[in-house]
Amino acid sequence: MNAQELLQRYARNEIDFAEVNLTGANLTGADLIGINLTRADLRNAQLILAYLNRSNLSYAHLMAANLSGANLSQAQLVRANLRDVDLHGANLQGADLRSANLMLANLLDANLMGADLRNADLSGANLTGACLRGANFREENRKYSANLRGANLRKADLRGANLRGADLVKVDLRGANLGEAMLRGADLQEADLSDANLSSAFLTETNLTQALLRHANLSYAKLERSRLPEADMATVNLTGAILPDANLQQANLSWANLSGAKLTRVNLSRANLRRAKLIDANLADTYLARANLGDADMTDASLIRAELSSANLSGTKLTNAIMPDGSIYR
Amino acid sequence: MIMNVLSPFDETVRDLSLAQHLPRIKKLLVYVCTRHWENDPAGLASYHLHELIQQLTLIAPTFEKLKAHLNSMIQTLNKPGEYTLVANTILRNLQRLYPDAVTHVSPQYQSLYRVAAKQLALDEDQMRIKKLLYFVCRGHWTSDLDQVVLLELVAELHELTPTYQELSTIFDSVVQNVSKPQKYQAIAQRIINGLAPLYHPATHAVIAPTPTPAIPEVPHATVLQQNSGQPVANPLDQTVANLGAGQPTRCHRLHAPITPAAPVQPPAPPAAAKQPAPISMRKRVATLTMDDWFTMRIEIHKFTNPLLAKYLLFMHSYADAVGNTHNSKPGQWDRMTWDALKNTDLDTLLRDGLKSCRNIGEFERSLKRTIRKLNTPNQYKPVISAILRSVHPLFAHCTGKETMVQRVSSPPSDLPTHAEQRSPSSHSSQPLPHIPHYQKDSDEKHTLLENHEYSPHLSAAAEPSELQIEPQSEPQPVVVPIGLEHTEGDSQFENTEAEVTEQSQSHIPYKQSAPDETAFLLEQEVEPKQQNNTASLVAQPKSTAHEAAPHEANLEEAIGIPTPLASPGNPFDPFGTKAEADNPADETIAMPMH
Repeated sequence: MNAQELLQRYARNEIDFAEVNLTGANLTGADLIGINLTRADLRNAQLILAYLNRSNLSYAHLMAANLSGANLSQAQLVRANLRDVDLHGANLQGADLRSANLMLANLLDANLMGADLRNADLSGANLTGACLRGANFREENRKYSANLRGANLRKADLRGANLRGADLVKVDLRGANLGEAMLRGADLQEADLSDANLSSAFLTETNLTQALLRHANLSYAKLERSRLPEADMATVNLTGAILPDANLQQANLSWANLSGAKLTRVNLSRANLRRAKLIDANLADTYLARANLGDADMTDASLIRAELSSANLSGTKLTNAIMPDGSIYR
Repeated sequence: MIMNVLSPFDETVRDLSLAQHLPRIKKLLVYVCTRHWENDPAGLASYHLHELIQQLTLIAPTFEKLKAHLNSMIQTLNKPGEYTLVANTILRNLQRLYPDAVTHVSPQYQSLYRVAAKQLALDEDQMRIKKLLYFVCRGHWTSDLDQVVLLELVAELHELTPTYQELSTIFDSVVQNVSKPQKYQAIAQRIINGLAPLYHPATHAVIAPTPTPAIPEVPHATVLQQNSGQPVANPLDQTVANLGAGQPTRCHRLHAPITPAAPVQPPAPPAAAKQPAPISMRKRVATLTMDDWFTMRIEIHKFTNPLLAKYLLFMHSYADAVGNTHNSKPGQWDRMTWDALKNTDLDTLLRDGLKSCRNIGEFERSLKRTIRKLNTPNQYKPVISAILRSVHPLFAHCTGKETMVQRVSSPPSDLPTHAEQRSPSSHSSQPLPHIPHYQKDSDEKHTLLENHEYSPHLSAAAEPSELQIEPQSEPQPVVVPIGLEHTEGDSQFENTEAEVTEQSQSHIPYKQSAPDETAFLLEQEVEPKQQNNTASLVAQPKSTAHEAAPHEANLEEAIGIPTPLASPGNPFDPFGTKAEADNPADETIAMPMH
């Protein structure tokens, strides 16, 4: 079938085109709202600015197709092969992309608000500036989780997105908006989260080993039991963050703001907290072996039962702090 | 006959269910109770007010906790200002369920309220002050301003906005959504200044009874005196001194409704004041937060095709680089255009577009001019609407540097429009090969225009100017903020405003000749907002009037004598339009409802 025939038949109210072969077809700007293209072969097709709202493209082969600016809102793309597809500026709001293959896809400035991306493979995809508010990447079980390895999510808007258990190893999330996002159990090893907004995000049990979090905003984020060894968190804002039992071994927290943070039982051994603000922070039972607290401000902090014996406390401000033995520092 | 007596709880539910912004009230209640934001009307309908209120009273057992909880939740929203107004409605209605709700105002603060109210009453724009205060406190507009007691509003506002930050936020939000943001920005600033002594330190609440508060009146008074150029007996100083000495003040005798009074110089903004005056668009762009960009972008995503938005913004900035033979039909652009779009993100293009204009009106005209040059302009019209809708809340108050002095000294035909500045000869675009590609490691604040030399005019626009506080001098095509609705009572003022505009325009000789704009305006809707120009022209002499006005007036008399805001014979109104243009009752004010 060619593009013209498809358009003629669609104009006659025919919408079922399952399994058709439209390889390389030029359907730029075509109005194909609600069309059924299940299992269709659309490889290398030109679907620029096409209207494919509520279409069914499940299991379709769209490899290397050009869907720039296409409207795929509420479309069904379950298990579609979208490898290397161009979805630059496309609208995929509310689309069902479960288990879709989006490897190396270009989703620059695409609208993926509320899209279902569970088990989708987005490894190496370009999601720069994409709007992913409320998108669902949630891990259903160990084998059914979204893969975003090596993806570029710079300046992506992921506020409130569900990335529970997602694979985000080495992902570029610089300047991304992850406010209130659910990242519980996500793997963010070596991810670059510099300048990202993670305020009030749920990062319980996440793996942030060696992640870059410079100047990120983690105020009021929940990081219980999260792993942050060797993370670069210089100048990070952790005001009011909740970090009990987190692992911050050798993390760089110089100039960080941890005022009011809950750090009970946190492992801060060899961490660099030089000039950090820890005003009114709760550091009860923390492990601070060889931690550098030089010039840090720990006014009103609670250090009860903390292991401080080998920490560097030169120039540390401890006014009214509760010391490990329960005494108040004057 | 059996009378059904409603319990306070039922009364609260009933009153809230009749409130003007019920959907918003429910949205906020659902959010504070469940931490879930419900946008779906059907979803909202599934929540019952009585359940939500019951839940809220459990979450917040005291009125103070309720206020704190609501305030903290509002801070997590995209529109804290708007929802502070909604929260105020909720608090006002729920206070009857809290025995502790009305017992915290100390006599000291009563006294300060009186002084603050008195100071506001002395402002020549006190009718607008009242109008704006009334809206912020009560959530709707009133034209019956004579029945409004300023003192009550001041006390109410202080209770509703316990911190200086909240006070600033709520006014920022409100003025962005009125039809005359520049004018009301100045009004809001005067209110904020007038109430500043109630907030000390600036970011913390001072409602709880305290010993004589250390109020920063001394610097405040000093600024006031410096500005007016003559010594002023600041009533606040007297009050503070009296509070300290335990002496009653003259203010204590104040009990009558406050009415218009003689004008005085408004106090200078305190150092902590936020956005004291309208600023240029370029400057505003530089101050935007990451959240602001996300907010604008999401609005574009919601209401238009992101690719078309990018293309339009690209053409807006780089049309000349693309050339005349370019096929602008959607999706049929040449390879170079595609490459440029792929190498640049929406933020960057938007930033370039915004930075090249002085105000939102100019931005709109410039975008419309851009699409007129395209093959299929109609396909891009909705895109313009979506872009403007997204940027309007953040840029509504921006104005160019153009001052009255420049306006008066330059004949209209000599006044270059921005279109002329953007003419091919002076266009800031450059050939495509020079457009810096989007680079992973580049500074995100770096824009495509960053390396360009701005014209002196545009560069100057970024400089701060005292006169920026004036309403913008340029005609603005947007009378109703894009995407915003009128509130009740607005419509009754619209005709009046349009009539006033016609009358006013006849007094402005150069207004009719705006060369490049005329053709464009013909195809646009009526632009009643041009009357702002009259206000801007008289705005500067106003300050002269302030200085000339007697400051040391008998305060009791001052607040008791109704004084017209301006008379047609005002010597400081060279065009004789001030009285009409400045009548606050003639203003249309719109607030968004989502």
